[in-house]
Amino acid sequence: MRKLTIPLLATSFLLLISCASIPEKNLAPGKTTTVLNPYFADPGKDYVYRTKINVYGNELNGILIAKKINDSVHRVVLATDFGNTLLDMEIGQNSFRKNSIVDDLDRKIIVNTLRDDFRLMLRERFACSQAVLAGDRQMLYDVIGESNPLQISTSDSKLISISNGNARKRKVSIGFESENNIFADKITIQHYNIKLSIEMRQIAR
Amino acid sequence: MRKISFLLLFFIGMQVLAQDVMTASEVSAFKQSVNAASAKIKTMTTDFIQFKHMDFLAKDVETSGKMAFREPNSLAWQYKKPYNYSIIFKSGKILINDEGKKSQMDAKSNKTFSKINKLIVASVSGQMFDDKEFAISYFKSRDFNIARFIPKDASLKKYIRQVELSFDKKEGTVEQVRLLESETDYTKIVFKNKVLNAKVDDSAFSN
Repeated sequence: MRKLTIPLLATSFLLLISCASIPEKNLAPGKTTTVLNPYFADPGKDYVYRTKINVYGNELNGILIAKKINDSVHRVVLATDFGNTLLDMEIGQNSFRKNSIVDDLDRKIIVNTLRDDFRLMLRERFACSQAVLAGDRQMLYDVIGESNPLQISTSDSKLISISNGNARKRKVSIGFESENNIFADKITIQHYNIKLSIEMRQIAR
Repeated sequence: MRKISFLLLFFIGMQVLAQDVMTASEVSAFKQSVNAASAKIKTMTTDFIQFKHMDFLAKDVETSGKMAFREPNSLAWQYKKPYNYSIIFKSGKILINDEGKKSQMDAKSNKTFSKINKLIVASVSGQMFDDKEFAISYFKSRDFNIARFIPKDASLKKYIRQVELSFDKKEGTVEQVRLLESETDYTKIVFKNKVLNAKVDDSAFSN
């Protein structure tokens, strides 16, 4: 019996280790920290991405341009490969303005979804509590002061994802891949409750 | 402020000066030369650079590639930089190759693409003057003869406020296309290394 118990115990212990987060690097309870998103923060820069929007099996390709036009607002333009503007909007964390949109896209659900996705992608500051170590270099944070659960994760202090909804029921995840922590080379927006994903690859610096 | 408005006025003045309205006889001579030139065009290949200009941007968004045209209406529009994307219009079909991912659709099923096709073919071959969808006016600058097209159709007007074609004065072929979206924002396409009537293989129109 004893012979059996030891390996069993050992296995469960191993399992425990692999599942559990290591507590020592966590933020002390009650402490908060601010994580910054640098990827759209420079007002002197045009952020230009070749973009593929995949919605219920249909693909819409084009060029997405984002630029910070004042302290709190980004202008976001989606254009075709030929240069025609499909959508032009000004997005702040608490403000929104639709400058222009083509008829085919001018539906409330499309505009609101894109507005919310881009608003999350462009957001610069996240006040966080409760960080846990999610891997060797990855940290997972809960963002505070939100009406809905919001989490972000970092790798070597670089922002790598923003996720909406809780861990069991994700709504939207935005993943960033960045070599230099100044801009994101690749961004992926994935929806879990609707069939929508947006892939973006930076094409101009 | 005064200085700025003066400067603005100056530049607007320059623009007006730089583009004179053609007289009626100049217009008919110009149309004739373009029609004569386009009648001779059986094929055309050219490099192009596309600039998307929006006033709030620090720099124009620049993409470039190659274009091939063969009578009567085969057209290949191929972006090579900074990404690979080609769209081919051929016998009622639209073929797309998006960074290796190929797809195909019926030209009739996509009105916007059909309009783009019509516009590009008409632009490069200079067949736009008889188009009843546009109000056309004619100008001349130092380097170019310029035809300005304003869509009459309200739905097309939403996409394109105005199209401006700049023609080489001697050759009568299109050198630049400018699609205006607002007072300040436009897409400009500049053609370079144009080759007329060389043999263009079928492979240019397959993806």
